[in-house]
Amino acid sequence: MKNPLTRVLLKVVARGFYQEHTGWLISLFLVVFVNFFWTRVPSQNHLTEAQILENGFRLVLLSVSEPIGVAALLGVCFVYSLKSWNYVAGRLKSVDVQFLAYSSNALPWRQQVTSWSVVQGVILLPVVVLCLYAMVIGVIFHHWLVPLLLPVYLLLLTVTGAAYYTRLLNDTVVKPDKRAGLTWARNWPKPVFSLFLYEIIATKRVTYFLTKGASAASIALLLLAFSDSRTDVRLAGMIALCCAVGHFILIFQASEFELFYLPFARNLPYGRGQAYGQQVLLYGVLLLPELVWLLAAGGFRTGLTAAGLLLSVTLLLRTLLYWTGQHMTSYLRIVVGLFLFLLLANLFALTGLLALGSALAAGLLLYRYR
Amino acid sequence: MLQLHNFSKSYRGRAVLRIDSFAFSPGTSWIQGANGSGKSTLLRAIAGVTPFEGDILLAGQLSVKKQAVAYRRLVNFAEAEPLFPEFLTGRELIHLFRAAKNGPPHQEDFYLEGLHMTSYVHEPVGTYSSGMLKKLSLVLAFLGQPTCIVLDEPLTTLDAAAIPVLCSWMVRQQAQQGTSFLLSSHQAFAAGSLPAMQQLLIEHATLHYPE
Repeated sequence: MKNPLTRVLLKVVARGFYQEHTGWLISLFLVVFVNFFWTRVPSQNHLTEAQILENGFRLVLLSVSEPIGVAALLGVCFVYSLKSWNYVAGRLKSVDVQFLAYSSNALPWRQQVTSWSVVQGVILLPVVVLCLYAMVIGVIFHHWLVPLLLPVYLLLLTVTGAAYYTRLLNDTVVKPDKRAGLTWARNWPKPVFSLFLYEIIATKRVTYFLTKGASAASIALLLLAFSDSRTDVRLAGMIALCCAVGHFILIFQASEFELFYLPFARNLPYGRGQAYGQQVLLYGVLLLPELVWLLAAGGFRTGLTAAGLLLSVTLLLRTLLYWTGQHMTSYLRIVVGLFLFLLLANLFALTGLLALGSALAAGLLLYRYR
Repeated sequence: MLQLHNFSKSYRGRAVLRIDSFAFSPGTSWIQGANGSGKSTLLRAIAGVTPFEGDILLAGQLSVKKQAVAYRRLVNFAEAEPLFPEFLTGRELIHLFRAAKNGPPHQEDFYLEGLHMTSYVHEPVGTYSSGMLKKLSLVLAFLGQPTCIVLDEPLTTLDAAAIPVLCSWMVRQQAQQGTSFLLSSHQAFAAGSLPAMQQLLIEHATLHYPE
């Protein structure tokens, strides 16, 4: 930690990673980690203590003994690393960290990789904890091979990430920047509403696919949990709410993109109605897979109500950022609070009313901002 | 030309600018002030880019808040350090601004030739240098039929050959369309390059004429 480069990198990269991904990490913790640490199984009164322990540790033991479990654990670590590599690569292109490209790369290569390894290790802490837990439980239950290989795997992921970042900062004069590309879309129309969609294609593909994966997973899980009420508007509403909230990182990034790259758009003579229309179009396209699924799977009336709820809540989550500003922690608190409130109200079959109310609230927030 | 009424701007509760009433005369106004005095904040508010308390009127009629669309069609803006999405080409941005600001077809040709930009304007702006980006933002600020053009630090990063070209555009625009200019600049303009320029000073969190 005494190394000045490590200290700076921890502040500008690792801290930024955790600030931007707090929501993802909380979701990951609630959905995956909690069950991984201890799987709750109801009605175990008839079992012995050893059997209860085995049931509770079923998932973690699976991850160090069975091929599918091992693949899942390694896969989670790899996807997490991939996300972090994507984040750091994007972060290194930010204007405020350009100094790294003419300071840090004057250090010997080995020193740079060491500093970046520490940073990558800090970024990987959640999956390191996961793996350490799997190792300890695995050893206790006499599974040796995977617990011994896990540190090697984590080290490999850490060093690969560190080498990648070091190369990015050292090859700045060798390799032309591909970000300015999108050559295939050069002649495509680019109305103002679509600019963030192009930005997703250019730089945020991983976030997009992870978000869509989370959306698909939440739909599948809810359908599985409530398999006997598939035509119920409340279930469709619940799916819409989960999908909308699942997009909150992309929504946050859309707002960031607008603030950073599109301040000029506020000088363009667009009225409030037009600005609202642009947001509807942007999120309509962004949520197209979910909207189509809701309309196709839920029946016309139910599907339309749920699709309306999905779009309007997403718009509300976007316009809330006009009010809160780009502060992830306070934004996240509001998102969680709003989600719980809407979820509860949806249980009283107020889905249509919630859709209307959210659309109006979004319009009001945009009106006040403009 | 432009009038500020009860204008105030705060960041996190700290007032950085407070102007009870001020009217800019037609012509060119050069706003000076130390770093952090609020020059860019004022210009961004006048351009309708940043929120503020109070109101700004153009020609005594158009409010930046109440007639926002009409106001923005007539008030153009170039930022001190312009940034645009990297995948857009200069040409795409020009088309966007020209359409939004209701400029005639091929209006940009004169400006692109003047600053020798035709060879790279079709390239994505991610490939531009800061000087090229600056030139592009200046071209964008001249599109349409603006009544007022707001230029924040227009000379920064411009090469020596481009400065007289920009001055000639300003003179031409003022003569042909009566456009007024609001500038902030730390660099002085060459004597005689621009017609009479009114100097203004931002200090002690307010705007006034220098003594």
